[in-house]
Amino acid sequence: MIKGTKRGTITDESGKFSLNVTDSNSVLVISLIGYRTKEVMINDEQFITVHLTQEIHELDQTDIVVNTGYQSIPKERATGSFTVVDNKLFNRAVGSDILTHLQGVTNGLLFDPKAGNANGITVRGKSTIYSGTSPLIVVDNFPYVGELSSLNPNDVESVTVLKDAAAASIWGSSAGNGVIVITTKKGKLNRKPKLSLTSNLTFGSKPDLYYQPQLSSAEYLEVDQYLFNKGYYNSNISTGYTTISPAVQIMLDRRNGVISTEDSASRMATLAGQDVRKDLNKYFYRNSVIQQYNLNVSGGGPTQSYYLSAGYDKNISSTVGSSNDRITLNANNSYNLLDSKLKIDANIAFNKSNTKDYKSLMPFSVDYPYEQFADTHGNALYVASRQGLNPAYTDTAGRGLLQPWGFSPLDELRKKYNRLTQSTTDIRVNTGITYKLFPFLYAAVNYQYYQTLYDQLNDYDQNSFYTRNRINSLAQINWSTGTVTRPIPLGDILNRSHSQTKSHYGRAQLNFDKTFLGKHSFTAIAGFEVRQDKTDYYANNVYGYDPNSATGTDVDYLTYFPYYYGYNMGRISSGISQSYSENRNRSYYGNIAYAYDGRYLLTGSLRRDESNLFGVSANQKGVPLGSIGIGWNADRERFYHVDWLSHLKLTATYGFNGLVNNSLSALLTSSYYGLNAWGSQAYSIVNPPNPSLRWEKVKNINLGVEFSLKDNVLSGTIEYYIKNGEDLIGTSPIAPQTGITSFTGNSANTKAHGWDFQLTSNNIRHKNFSWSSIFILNANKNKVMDYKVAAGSNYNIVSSLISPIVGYPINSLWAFRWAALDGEGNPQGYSNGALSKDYSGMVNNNDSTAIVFKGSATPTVFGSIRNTFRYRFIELSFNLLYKFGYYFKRSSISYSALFSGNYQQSDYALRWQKTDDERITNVPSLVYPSNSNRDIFYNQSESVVMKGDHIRLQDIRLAFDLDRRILPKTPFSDASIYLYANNLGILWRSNRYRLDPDVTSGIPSPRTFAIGLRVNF
Amino acid sequence: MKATILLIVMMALIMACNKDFLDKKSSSSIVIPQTVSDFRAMLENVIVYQSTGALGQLASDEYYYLNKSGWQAATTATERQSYIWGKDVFGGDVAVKDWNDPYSAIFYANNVLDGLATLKDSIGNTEFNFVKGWAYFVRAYEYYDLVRNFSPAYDSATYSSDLGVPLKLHSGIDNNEARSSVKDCFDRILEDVGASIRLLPAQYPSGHPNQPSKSAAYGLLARIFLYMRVYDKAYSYADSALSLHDTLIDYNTLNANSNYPFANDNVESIYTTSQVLKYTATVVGNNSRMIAVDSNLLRAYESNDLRLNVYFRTRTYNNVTMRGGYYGTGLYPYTGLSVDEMFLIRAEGAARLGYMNIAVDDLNKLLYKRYRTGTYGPRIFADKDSLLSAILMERRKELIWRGLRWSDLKRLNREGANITLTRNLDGEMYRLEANSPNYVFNIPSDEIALSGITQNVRN
Repeated sequence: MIKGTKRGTITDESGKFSLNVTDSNSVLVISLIGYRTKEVMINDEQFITVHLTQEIHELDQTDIVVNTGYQSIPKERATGSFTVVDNKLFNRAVGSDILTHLQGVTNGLLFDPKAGNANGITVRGKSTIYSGTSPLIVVDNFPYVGELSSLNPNDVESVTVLKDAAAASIWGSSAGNGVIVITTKKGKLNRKPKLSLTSNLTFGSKPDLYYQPQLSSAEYLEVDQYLFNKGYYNSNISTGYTTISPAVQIMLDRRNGVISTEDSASRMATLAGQDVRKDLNKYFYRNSVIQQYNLNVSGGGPTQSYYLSAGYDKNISSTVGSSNDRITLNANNSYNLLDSKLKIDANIAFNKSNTKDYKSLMPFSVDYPYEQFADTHGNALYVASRQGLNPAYTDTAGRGLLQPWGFSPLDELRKKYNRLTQSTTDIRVNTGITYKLFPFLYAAVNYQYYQTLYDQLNDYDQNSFYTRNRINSLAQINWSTGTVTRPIPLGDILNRSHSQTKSHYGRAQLNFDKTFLGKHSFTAIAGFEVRQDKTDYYANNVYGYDPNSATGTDVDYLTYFPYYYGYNMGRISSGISQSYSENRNRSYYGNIAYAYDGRYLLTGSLRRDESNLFGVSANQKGVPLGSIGIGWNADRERFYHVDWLSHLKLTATYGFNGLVNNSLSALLTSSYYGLNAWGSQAYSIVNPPNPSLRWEKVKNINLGVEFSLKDNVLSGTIEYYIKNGEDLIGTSPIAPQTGITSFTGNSANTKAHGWDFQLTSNNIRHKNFSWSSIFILNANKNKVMDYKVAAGSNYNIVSSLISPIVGYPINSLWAFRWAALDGEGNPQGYSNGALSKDYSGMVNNNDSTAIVFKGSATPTVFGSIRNTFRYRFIELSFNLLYKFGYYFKRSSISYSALFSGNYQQSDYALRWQKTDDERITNVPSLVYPSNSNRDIFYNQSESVVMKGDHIRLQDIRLAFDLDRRILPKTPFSDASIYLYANNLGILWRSNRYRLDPDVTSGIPSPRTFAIGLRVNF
Repeated sequence: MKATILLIVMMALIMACNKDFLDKKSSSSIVIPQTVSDFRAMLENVIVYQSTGALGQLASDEYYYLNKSGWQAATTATERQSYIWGKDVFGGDVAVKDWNDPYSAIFYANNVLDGLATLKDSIGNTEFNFVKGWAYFVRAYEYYDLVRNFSPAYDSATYSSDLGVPLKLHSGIDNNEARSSVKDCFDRILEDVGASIRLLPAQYPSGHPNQPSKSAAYGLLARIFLYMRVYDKAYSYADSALSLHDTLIDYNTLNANSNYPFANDNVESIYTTSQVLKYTATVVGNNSRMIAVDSNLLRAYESNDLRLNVYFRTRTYNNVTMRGGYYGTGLYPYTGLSVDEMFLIRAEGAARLGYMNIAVDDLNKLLYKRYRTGTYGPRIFADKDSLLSAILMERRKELIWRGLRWSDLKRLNREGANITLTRNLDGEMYRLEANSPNYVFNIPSDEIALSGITQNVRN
């Protein structure tokens, strides 16, 4: 650039450039990212050579810019609490979704399956009890309402987490759970086109089916035989068509004398020798493979910049028959016009994901531990599914006139009879116009249109068990003529659903930035925002569907048809459902930051939100929320001469964030129930009137210290915060005489406080070798201060994840007091302070002597330790995650569940069986009939409470970063090859059952191994 | 350019400052009831017509378990404990529909009454009156259902101190009521029925037997006064109900082989309700539990009595269970008010009052439609006692599985019938003495825990 003009050029690949200069006194300004900008006088020279010095890029606080979604603030001028995940850190992990990239590296962000939201994340712990706990996700300045999985992490430039009121209250009533701001990559002015290619492959092992304990086949058969002898199955046997297990069929055949004692014994022995997990592993699971490709090009001229990217992901899931792929396209353009007075941004993003699945629609459940899906030659077998009917009945019921009635899951999977396809198409158009009214005042108008289309087709082939069973169930045979009437016609059954979300966001904002008298700098924004999201949903069923012609057959949805078996009557479901939901918000906001001499900072913000929250009177639709903050850059004081502590900044903030619960109303509301048995339209009551309903508020106080030692040997932040929830919405059981059994309304005040530590230590900094460690520690404790409704019975308290009791954490773990087994294997507890076996009393009453508080159910101390080693161009890092200070209940055995067929339980073999067993076991004896309160008592008692504390090796990454010096003769400017292993496992855990406390049900995520390549041209 | 930006800003402001912007409803599935027909739709909900308790049916002598193993295999502890009249009839089960569902129906009715009170413009029009009368009727119907299960038999000697149930008369959920006396409960019930009679039409529109009418309100009064042992009023209200609706089905016209001999809108129904959807022991049609209808009762049907085939079927273990019922294709027992019940109330009332001819006439009229054509000869009775016991026997035979037996047992034992019930589980014997405190069921434990009302005492 020629200084003082708009003229300039860019160099070619070898760094050469030419420029016509008319004035020999011109000064050239040469700039390059990563180098110090240099000014050179031309002095009539024809050729000049300019040497730029490389800029030393240590972690310099002044470089970091935090983006709140409304403005970008240099971190040195901010008072609020922010965690920034920069591009390098973000790309440390390999994964096709954004959250994988944040896990374990983001200070203050907890990944917890008990978080209570789909993404499983909370910012600084829970600040609400029953409302949504998901943090607000902002993508390119606007809230993102789509699925996070639709976004391609390769397009992400950085992520900022807003944690306290000064940071987040600009988002007002949406900010109560914290805010995660995602910024996508943009082009930069005056930059050569840069092409970047990323590709990686991730392999995952099969899920470990043996993690989940279960009764062995022999043990389960023993239970079956016991129940059979007790007459437990007589009722099901009596109908003739109700399904019974293969084992019960053998016992029945033996009882009826159809088979001999020897036959029955040998058949039972065969079953006892089978383990269904073998077949599942062989036929239903496989290693997963994820392929990811991304290509992007970015650059810019003097007035215009661009970023274009295309990504393709393909995910072959570990479940056979399930896969998905995703295409993402992005074009971010920016134009500077009218002497850079006018800036226009135009960003377009397009994502399309498709999922195919041939298994999940099947009425498939693994009903018996000895089930077999294939014979020794791999031929698919029929199963006696609990979803179906007794094979002895279905084999003969139609005498050949009905559709075959057997069910072979493996055959259906192989032939793809149950086809689920989902597709999501997202389009996001984000435009902005910024006009410089004065050098210190900008006016900006932003508009975003977002649309997502979701389609799901469940196509049950006419050969699928599902369809055959539906057709047969309502079929009637006229035996004299042999004709079959089928209210559900032959052909596929298709369930279709379609939803569409359209959102319009608009924002008008003034930005002010001016320094007076050299020392008083003011920045301020003031704006107005309108948001509207509307989702429409439509679904229906098609019968007799022919996929080739895409046509169906009309059926009678009104008549009650008799079932072919039994005495039930049924209608055919049209599946027609149509609905919409619409959220509208209007907000006014502003904030101001004043800095005196870069030393003293004062910030304030205020926002008012209004929404179409249903049935709240007008003055309650809006709520003003705000914050104030102060900061002191101590190291800039003239009197500051602490050499070893080169950087020191102190901040304090105070303010309120809010939370809206759209599902409640102050007025009596009802919903359309459908037609009743006599064809009249009926309504259900959804919400009893609640005239005192208010928005939830979270009061935040944050005190922060930011420091670094000389030469950045050690740097970090220490923050202490208080988060007090006011008028939190809670749900509690209430006396059934009111007509409802639970009440939801503003009922709680909570108090939380915690610490966020982050330390970065550069242990070794040698030319060829370096070692750095990053230590993150988050501590969070909360307590319910006030709760306006009763907690309910002991069962409500011990079984609920959220049991708001004054003086205890929101997520408390309570258990029944345990007093060992008695001489007959019965569990014992306490009621009214005395030893008791009154299970119903202990479970269903609220005698507080029967229960005991064990601790928090969510981690109170958690964080990560990440070490990075670099030897020349090789970098190795690994991340340890730890969680401490919490408890969970392991699952043991419930005989009620066992008798209804749940064999996936542990401890059956450890149960009390004979006198004196009570000395060696806590597992109660088997009783028949089962006593559900006895089961509840035991499974919610102290004897199954475990400490959740553990340390896990989350991941290891090995990267080879190759630059020009290593790759002199290639077209690449630099390249990186990396290996990444994730979910490596638990290194230490407090519980001795080898349980993963983060897995509340099911199987832990399998280990994955990835190999990847990133090259820049 | 500045002008353009200003224009855009202005437009955005104008668009969003539109007053209606925030008035848009946030979801299609939510309705704020604002019209009479909205409130009417709330009363069309299943909670209103499928909310009568089953405990009396489970504890009564209309059926037995084939053996102990069948009893043990019952699906809920309540089915086991109620069968042997255990101290805790729920055996620890919670979420008791027998208590919760009637209160839900009452909650709906209270919301309708409170909501209608705000619709000043509609007061007095026919639809308004109908919906208001419907709500009063439902409230009375459900309170009576609660009182007959959870309170002692009506006895004017003790009713001021006998505990009734909590009377919730408003839709607010923020306060709990203590239990009112049995007397106060019946006063309220009779007052509500009285209010409904003035508002309801004479008959329900054809095909909608879930909608109450004057005949239903009279029928309810007849049923309640019978339970109160005020026989003259029972007699006259049954008479009033029948004066509006007395159609009897001739069982000769029914297909006794059908799985469901009765239609959903069967013409004998004056007001249709069913038992709560909970217990598999009481279902009709496809009851595969190990139960059978009381064999002594079965033997009381004569061979030409069509009810033997219309009501019953023989199952796998040679046990006889219920076929369909007055609830049409519904799987749960019919508990509503019907013409046959009214004939039997009027007959019993007449017999007790000494109107022998009326009583005999009613009995004959009913049975004529229940016997194979040409086989029924009008009966003649020597005295009042034999007539009365014949009527009571017909009451058992005709109204089996309608949820009426338990309140009849409570009432008849107060009349001195001294009926003792026994159960035999493979030799283990259980007895329920007449007027035992175990005729009153426990209040569910969650109600006790949350509202602190007084529990009933059982042995």
